[in-house]
Amino acid sequence: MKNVKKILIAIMAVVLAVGCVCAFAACNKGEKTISIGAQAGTTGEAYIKGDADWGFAGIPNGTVSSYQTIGLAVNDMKNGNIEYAVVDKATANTLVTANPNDIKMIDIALTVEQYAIGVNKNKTDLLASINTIIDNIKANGTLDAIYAAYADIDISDDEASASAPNSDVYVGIENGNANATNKLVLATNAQFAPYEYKIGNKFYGIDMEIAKIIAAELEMELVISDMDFDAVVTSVQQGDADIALACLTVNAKRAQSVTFSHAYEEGAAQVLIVKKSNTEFDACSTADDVINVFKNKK
Amino acid sequence: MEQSWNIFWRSFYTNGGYQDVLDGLKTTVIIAVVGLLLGILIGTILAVIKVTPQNNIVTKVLGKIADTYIAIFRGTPIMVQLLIVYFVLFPAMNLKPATLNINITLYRVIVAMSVYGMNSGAYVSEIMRSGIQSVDVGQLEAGRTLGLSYGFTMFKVVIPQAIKNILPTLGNEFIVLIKETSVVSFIAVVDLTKAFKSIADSNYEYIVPYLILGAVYLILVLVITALIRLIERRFAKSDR
Repeated sequence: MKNVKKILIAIMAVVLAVGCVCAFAACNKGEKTISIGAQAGTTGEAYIKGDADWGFAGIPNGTVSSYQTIGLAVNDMKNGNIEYAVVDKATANTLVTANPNDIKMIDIALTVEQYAIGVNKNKTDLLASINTIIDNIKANGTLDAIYAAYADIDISDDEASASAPNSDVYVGIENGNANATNKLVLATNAQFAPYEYKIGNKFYGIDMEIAKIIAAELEMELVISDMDFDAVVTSVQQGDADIALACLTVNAKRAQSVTFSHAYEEGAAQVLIVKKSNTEFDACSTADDVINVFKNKK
Repeated sequence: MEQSWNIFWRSFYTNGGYQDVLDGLKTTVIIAVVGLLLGILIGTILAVIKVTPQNNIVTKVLGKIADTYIAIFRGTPIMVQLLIVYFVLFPAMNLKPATLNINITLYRVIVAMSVYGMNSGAYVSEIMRSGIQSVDVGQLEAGRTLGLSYGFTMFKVVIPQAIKNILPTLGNEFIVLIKETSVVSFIAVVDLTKAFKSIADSNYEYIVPYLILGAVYLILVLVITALIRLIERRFAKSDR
């Protein structure tokens, strides 16, 4: 019995020692880098890490902290665990509107891309009709009206829906019947205001309004499938969903998995959000300036 | 399939993804190991509280606390516990990387370790209780008759025998822990699952990374099973 105890204690000691050493190794390695938040699978995440296929060099000294939603990243920033996060500009705007005392946006476009609808590769007819619809709503001002309705929206304001400027827009979209025969299944991540978000069981947002128009034009039942962002492209690729509308940035890598429609947003920028008290970027005017701030740290 | 493999290999080896995977593997194992040790510690204390006869106010209160603890940690999913501790509880208690003077990566791992430890404690306490009850009550009575205190008899006579009895179940708990750590990416810890998921997400090519991820977990669990067998055999030497 004595030996048994010795062995047990020895095993525990070794394991604890290894644990401590590894923890300190991780600790020392971590000290060289700055933790920057982003939502898993987004352009922001690739921008921080650096990705040859996207053409991003990565933020110097930066290491990415991937959160399931961007809201969690902002929450962590409010708790003081991270200092910076990279997110799409319109969403950054909404986040700042909702948390005006805690965070601010550095209004410098780190990178500018397009948003488009991802369509299943086998559905060429659907792609053609979607392209026509997008061209139409761009030309006749419907898209501008949607953008105007969602400009500076405050999702923390209960009365926001009451002051909807346009009766067709901002009424909330109820999910369609998933058993309908003629349905358009939409993959999205409804935690990305003002593009897609949920209040109660209704979907709101620019992307959702576009989807509503497409479904109405094609006379199909709109079935919204709300999932994690990193699953959106795959579900369209595999045919579980017909289209993806989730602020999808157009890039060559995603285009291998889905076909992109015409872009509905040309100036989709990634920006940095920081704590309200942060002054490091006050002198910056270009993306290079921002990168240099990170480069000169440590 | 060959194309999938090539895409995976490019991310995994050529672009250095294996470094994340190794770090992730280390994180997974550390969280599970420290979680189990913490769990055994908490679990043993809880089990002793629960088997101690509740005949005065102190033991009664302790018994109720132990019951509540076990109810809470067994009654909520580990992922919910992670989210609550990381995003609500620790910030509210002002336990932040800045106040603890540690970096954020280590902080997150420590949060994960404590959550898995506390969660595991609730399960281990029940395992340990059954272990203690499996030891003949005569052992405790003999110790007490010889003039040993209750605590001494418990920790020096009963629990060593109990641990031997529950070793297979404890090994099982370790295996469960290893697998349960796959949700730590919810608090932005890069573990084994997250490392492979990033490789998969960066290419939208899931077949190879997920199959290999599954294989790595399987190998990990098989190695642990073999280790547990080894320890069990060593313990069995004192059996007649």
